[in-house]
Amino acid sequence: MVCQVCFTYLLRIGFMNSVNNTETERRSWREVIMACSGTANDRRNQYWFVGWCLSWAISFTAMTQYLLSDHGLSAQMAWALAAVPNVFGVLTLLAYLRFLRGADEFLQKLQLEALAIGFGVSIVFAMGYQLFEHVGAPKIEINNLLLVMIAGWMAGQLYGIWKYR
Amino acid sequence: MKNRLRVLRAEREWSQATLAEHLDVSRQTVNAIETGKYDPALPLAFRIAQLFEQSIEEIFVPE
Repeated sequence: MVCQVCFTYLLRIGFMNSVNNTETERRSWREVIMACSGTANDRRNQYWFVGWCLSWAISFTAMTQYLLSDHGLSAQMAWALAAVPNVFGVLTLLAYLRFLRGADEFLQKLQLEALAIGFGVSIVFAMGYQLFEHVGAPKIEINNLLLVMIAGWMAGQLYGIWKYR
Repeated sequence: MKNRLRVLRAEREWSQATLAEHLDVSRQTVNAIETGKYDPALPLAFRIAQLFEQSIEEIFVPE
């Protein structure tokens, strides 16, 4: 999640600058990435998404640290605190959906392809790795699958930016 | 599909960013359409046609 936030944040930083040299066919990566900023509305939605994403990451880290160190909480309080990051997670999801619905058709296509790549890569990884576990590969946790999915999504976005540069 | 978007834009001396602003899309979208890497859906095609006051067939030509 932290990697995703950092990646997204770096992209958004690039988005803040406008591209003046718009007529060149071949562009540098920086120019290409900056060109994906979308409209002002897209940028505003992206900032909300990044903001909630950061809040999610921070709350997840904080709650994990707090709950791992025994503070003698009641079961109800522990459950309530464990649910806090999920609230930010849902808000992040809603912000992403808002960005997606507000984006123009081409950006929607890019995101769809990126999501498909991320989902597909994680399915292939999950299915394929089971066989490797049978032949001696170390067992992995579900968190690793999430990392693969996020990495696939990020790679899909980069692929889309490169493909339609 | 071929299109005359770049020519029409050049006639008005607009940058891709200016055209993107008129169409309320990203500059990357304009670039992808101009280079033939992406064919717009009907709503955007109609907006382009209205903006340049031409029919869709005059702007977009099947290869």
